[in-house]
Amino acid sequence: MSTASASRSSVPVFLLALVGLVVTGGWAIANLMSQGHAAFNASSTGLMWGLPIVTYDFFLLTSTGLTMVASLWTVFGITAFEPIARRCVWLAVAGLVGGVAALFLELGHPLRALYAIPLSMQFKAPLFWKVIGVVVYIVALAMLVTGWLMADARGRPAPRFASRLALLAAVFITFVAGLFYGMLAMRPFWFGGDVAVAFLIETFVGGLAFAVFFTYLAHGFRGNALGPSTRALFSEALPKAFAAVIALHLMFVLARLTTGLWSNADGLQVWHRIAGSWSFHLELWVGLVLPLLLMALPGTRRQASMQIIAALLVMVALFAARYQFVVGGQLVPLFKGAWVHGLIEYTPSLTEWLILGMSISLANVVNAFGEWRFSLGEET
Amino acid sequence: MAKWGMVIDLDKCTGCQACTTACSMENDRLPGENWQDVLFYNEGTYPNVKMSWFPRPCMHCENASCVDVCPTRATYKDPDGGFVLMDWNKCIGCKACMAACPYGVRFYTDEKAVVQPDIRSVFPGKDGRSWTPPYKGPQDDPKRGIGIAPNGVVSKCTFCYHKVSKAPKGVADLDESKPELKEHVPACVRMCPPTARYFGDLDNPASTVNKLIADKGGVRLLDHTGNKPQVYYLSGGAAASVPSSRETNKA
Repeated sequence: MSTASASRSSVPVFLLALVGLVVTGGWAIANLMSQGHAAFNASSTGLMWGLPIVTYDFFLLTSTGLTMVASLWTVFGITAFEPIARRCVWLAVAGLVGGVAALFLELGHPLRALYAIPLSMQFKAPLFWKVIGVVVYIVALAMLVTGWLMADARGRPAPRFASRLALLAAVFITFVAGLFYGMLAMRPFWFGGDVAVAFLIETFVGGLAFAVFFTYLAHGFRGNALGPSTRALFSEALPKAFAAVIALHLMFVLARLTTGLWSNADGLQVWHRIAGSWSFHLELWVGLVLPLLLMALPGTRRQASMQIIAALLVMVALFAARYQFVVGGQLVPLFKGAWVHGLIEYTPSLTEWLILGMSISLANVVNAFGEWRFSLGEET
Repeated sequence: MAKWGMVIDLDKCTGCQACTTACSMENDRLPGENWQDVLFYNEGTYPNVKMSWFPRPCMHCENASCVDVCPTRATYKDPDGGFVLMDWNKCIGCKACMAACPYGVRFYTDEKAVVQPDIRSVFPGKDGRSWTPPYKGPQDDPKRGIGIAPNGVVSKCTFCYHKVSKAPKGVADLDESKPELKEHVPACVRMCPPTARYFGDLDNPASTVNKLIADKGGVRLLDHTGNKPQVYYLSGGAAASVPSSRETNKA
């Protein structure tokens, strides 16, 4: 399938996502305008950060992961990854838009944040540095889009400065996001210097999963529609790299789980709750171990259907893991309200789910627009 | 410059919540937005059970993690007095301070009402404020988190900054029994029936709070976090005690 036909096949996705955006976004905004943030199930006496923050984190870090995958070609010159580099750059834009939209609906004063954070010069705050990183990241992605994607400069290397800047910003944002959680010693579930490194690996896993899934989506989920270079990448280097980073991520998950279950520290009992939940085991065995096997075994790793299934399972598992991480760190109530002996209970509200739906729809609208307007794949 | 601090004698505290009520009235807080809360809990299993309580204001920490984590400097440490305050004109409602506070003493103003019916629907806010109480104090200083909070920001205990900051310079203790000082005493201290609370200058060696901390072995809550609270607890173990255990899933 040529890039032209791939762009034609993106129209139904665009329309479907647009309908989803109007419905979920409109509904969520209507609820927020009528109820304010009382439409969320987050509260001062319970969890302060619920599903919208999970959504924001997931989309932002998916975006940075995709930029890391793109940089395998744009920065490090690994030619095998050239066929998916342009698509990864645009997917990074789509992910960023989806994440920032969720954040803006979560913040109390999103417009004030636009100037109050950069002008605060609060060098001690990790969120200050994260926002500075995001500003640089937006500039770098804008340069890549205007100087590479819009210029239709396929076959030519990406702008060197913009590519390096985007990679640096992506790594920086991911690292600082992990540092923020890792610095909070009063919440042992989040605390630890390893969190930033775990974030980097998790992000790269997500980047590869999204690259695989959306490349197939652009080609109607037909393996034989891929161009020869893309097919070569998907036959050898990519599934092997995918398996390797899933294994690395899995080791981080198991390491954190084991230390959490073993330790007596107040705050780590959350791991008992997580380890006893069916969703964690679904995430662990179906979302990570199964894709690892599918991508590691020679008999399955080259099959398009297996790659699509593996990518989809990893995407869902990473979202579940992000939810467990963000929510899990807040389940111990510390000294909120009347003393709570157990852990805080939290279930996202309808509006919170709608914001997730809005972010998914918005990211897909942006991505499908790119597939339609730009040549994101290889020409056959 | 004083470094104001509080000492709470847990052997005297009866858990009556007069401090909670006084704070809410003085600072015009919403029902359930208890800047000064008393936490009730029980320990043990029947028949060996004990009900305890624990008064918990903002600790106004020396190394406040909520200050360092705020990306807009909306939360700040006032060098003159050591108050940890909120600038509502800078707060973006990101709630990072709530995540970083080990004591759960911060409140987001735009969320489901803790106590139903929602009093904000009875007295809706004007000029961007979250509500309009029928009676309120005259103090209003959004740059210090004093008064009726706007929507979408975080609020917290101010150590009654509007009273304490006007105390005579150089005074060692703000003692409600002294007529010339009583108007400068924080509401929770002034209204405590068993006088379980003391408020004074931690930098003044002659202050009562320093003597109590030294003589009775004052402890700070979750001291291992390094936040260095300016609130100390005295406990001989007779009545309320600092919570030290939480049920886990481990047998």
